Amino acid sequence: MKNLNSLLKVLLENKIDFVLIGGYAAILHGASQVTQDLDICALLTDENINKLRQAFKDYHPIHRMNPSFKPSLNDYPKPGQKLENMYLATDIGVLDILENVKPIGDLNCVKAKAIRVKLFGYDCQVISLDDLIEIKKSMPRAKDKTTLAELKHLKSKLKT
Amino acid sequence: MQNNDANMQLDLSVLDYNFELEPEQRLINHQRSFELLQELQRAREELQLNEEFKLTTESTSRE
Repeated sequence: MKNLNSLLKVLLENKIDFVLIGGYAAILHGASQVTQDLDICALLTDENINKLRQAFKDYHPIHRMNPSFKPSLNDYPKPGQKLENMYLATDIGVLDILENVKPIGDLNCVKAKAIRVKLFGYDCQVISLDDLIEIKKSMPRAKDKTTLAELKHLKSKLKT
Repeated sequence: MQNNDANMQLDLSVLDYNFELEPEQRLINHQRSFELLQELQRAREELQLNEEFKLTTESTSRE
């Protein structure tokens, strides 16, 4: 059974530098949609990819997007091969890693307004509600429109 | 249900309930829903292995 909380804990326990984005961040802010993956913004440097390999070594991480090419994270990318995004499947869930989050920007831009939340004993950086709303505004899918409406309602309930 | 955005009907009671929870509890609750979803997906896959419950398309129904 996939467990996105366990997936998140692996990232936090292994001190991966990331900001939680996407549907799981929306859940954390109070949205009601069920999401089937974990999205994070992180730098895909060789050093960070090696940290991810170490973190997920017991969970068989593979690249999942190309039906005819699904290498293990351990085998790809090779040192020096640059990826902008990484879409992984692991034993405990699906993890998408983006270096850039449109229309907000790169990790530093996302971190600028990110909030820190205590989760499972760890400090976790989470994309701000305002940034999440901006992202959802730019997405055309019906479910993103629903999430956008939910996030706007949640924002209206905040005191500040 | 109430109208929020144009043509958008949301169950605000769910959102208002979530709003009162700690963030970690929201994720714990979500995991329960996610596990139920996985179970339903697994059951659907099993069901579709059964010929009696195979989905038909227009072309197969004409045969």
